[in-house]
Amino acid sequence: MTRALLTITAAASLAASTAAAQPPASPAPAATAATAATRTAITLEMVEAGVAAARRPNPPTQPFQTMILPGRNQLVASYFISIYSEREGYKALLTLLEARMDKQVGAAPTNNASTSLATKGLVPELLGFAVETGALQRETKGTALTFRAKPMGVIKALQGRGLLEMYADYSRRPGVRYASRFSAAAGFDTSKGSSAGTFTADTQQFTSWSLRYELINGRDPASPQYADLWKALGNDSADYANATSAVFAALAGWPEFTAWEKALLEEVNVKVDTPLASGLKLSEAAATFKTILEAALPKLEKLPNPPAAVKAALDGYVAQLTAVQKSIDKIYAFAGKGALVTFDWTTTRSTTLPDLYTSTGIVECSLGAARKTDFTLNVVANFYREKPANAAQAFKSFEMTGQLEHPLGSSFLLPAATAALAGRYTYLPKDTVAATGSATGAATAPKGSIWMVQGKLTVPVKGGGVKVPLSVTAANRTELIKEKINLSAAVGLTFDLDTWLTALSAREK
Amino acid sequence: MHKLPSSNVYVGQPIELVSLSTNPDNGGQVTADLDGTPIAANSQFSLLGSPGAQSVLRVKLNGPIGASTDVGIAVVDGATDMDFLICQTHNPAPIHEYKFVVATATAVNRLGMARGAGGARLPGVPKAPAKKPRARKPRAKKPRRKGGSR
Repeated sequence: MTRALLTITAAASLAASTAAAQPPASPAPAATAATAATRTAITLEMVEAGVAAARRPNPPTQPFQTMILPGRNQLVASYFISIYSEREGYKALLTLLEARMDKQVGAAPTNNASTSLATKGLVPELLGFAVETGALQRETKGTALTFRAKPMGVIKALQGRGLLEMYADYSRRPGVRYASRFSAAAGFDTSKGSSAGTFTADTQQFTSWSLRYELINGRDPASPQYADLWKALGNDSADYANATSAVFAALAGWPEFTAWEKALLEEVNVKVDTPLASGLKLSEAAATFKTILEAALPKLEKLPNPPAAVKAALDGYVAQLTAVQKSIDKIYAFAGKGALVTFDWTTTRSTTLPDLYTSTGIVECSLGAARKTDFTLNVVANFYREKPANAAQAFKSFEMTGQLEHPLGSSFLLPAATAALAGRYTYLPKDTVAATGSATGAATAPKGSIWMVQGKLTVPVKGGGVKVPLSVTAANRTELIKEKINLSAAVGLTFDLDTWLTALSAREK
Repeated sequence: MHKLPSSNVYVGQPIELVSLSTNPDNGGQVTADLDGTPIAANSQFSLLGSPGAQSVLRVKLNGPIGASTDVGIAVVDGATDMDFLICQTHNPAPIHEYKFVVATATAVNRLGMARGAGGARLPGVPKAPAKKPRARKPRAKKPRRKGGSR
């Protein structure tokens, strides 16, 4: 007998059922709020640069003047870009600079409602959650809600650090970078519990937790394997260098600006750098520097007689920096396709069965020189915490999953959509039991081999950190039912809170 | 060579040798050019030969956010003048400019003395004659008197 299942859940009803999945309801803040956030970030970057310079083994004699001296005041130029953000390309550049790479999040495939056949290794730095609905491996419908976070990211966030500052910390401190390789996730099924359909995060909906560690991460853009790309970018950016020099020259030719600059440098010299050299604590020097900047930088907006040459130079700089930032993003994207080896430990809770432990080795790499096709291999061992009733042993099954993923690009009607083909082989050495959505909660899973093939199309929703995965799966049987062919289809939604949080923080700072 | 305070301007004498050193970190890659001509990130170059001439050195850093580099320019006031570049969100590809102004050896030495550097010694320039320390006259030994001997 051939079984055919088709489950399509409208995005609207899904969003309504999960309060936590609601996008920010408030209207878009005024442009001035976004600009203020950018200016605050620039001020903090100046302070960070001064602190970093002062911490060098062989520091500059005036470390806090490092980024504000003539001939190196690009952060001041960025401040001007925020001032003139109504000019063409300025706001787009600031958005580009502050954008974060999207990363896929999703429920682990052991969860009933997942649309993912293979697990991906990287997770968002702070907090990601995904909601997916449909049926894949089992004939159980449900709504999976997964929270995944890196503990170091949460700690940093609690310390008041934004997402943008975290990467700098990761790259500078080996200990932090090591700790950031850990991540943890908690899974909930909103179809369970007394308030089914509404996310309550109670123990009835809490279905799984997992720990993950990145054994090998070839996706660090600071890795030596990407040195040539960074070097080439430096060699190929003569226009950008000239545009930068033009800004320096234009600012130097603006008397009101040079007077402002001279006063700032003098104040920083007297109140920050000289006391620091005489033994002032670095933290106190940084705080004083921040106070000085917070008073001085807003004056830039009111400087009289801005020459046309300054705006012209800034126009050129914005155009060139936009091009450079796009090249930087390409390097990040290329590095993001590097080899990744991850170990994942997941515990799945059930009300009727012992906890199911799943240990997963995940290997991800990309094929071809351009790294356009992703290959993912999962090797999984499942075993119960103790031998369940009606099972021959605690060990449940062995699984191996392979997935190829290729971006369809602009050649397809759905731009930036991704096509994936996956296959899974599962071996149950002895008769065992598996969780079901029925009232009994568990049923016998006959021993034998299970193969499964899945085709998947993931369509991103523009500008929202939201992806819609559509999948079709064929299998020779399920864990519970031995039949010749089992065909199912599913559609879901995936959210990446990083994208939202970055956009929100940019607007609300 | 001397550096003008709170600026990116160095004053050296004709054909003075300048050493550039960089020390990138966290995946940063450094490129440099002198008056638009690429030079190695760790190299030496000579200033122009005519007083009044200028050269512009640009040091460029490319890398992920957090990449950084130390930059050393020598010899400035008898030591290496340090600088620091770091890739940041709003400054992802930092560039620092250094201007080298050529002056006569006399002017350079006067500048050094005016800055209190005591006339820093520059390559090819004889050290400014220092004041000779006064030579102490050796005290004439007083003949020892043997106590009690009369």
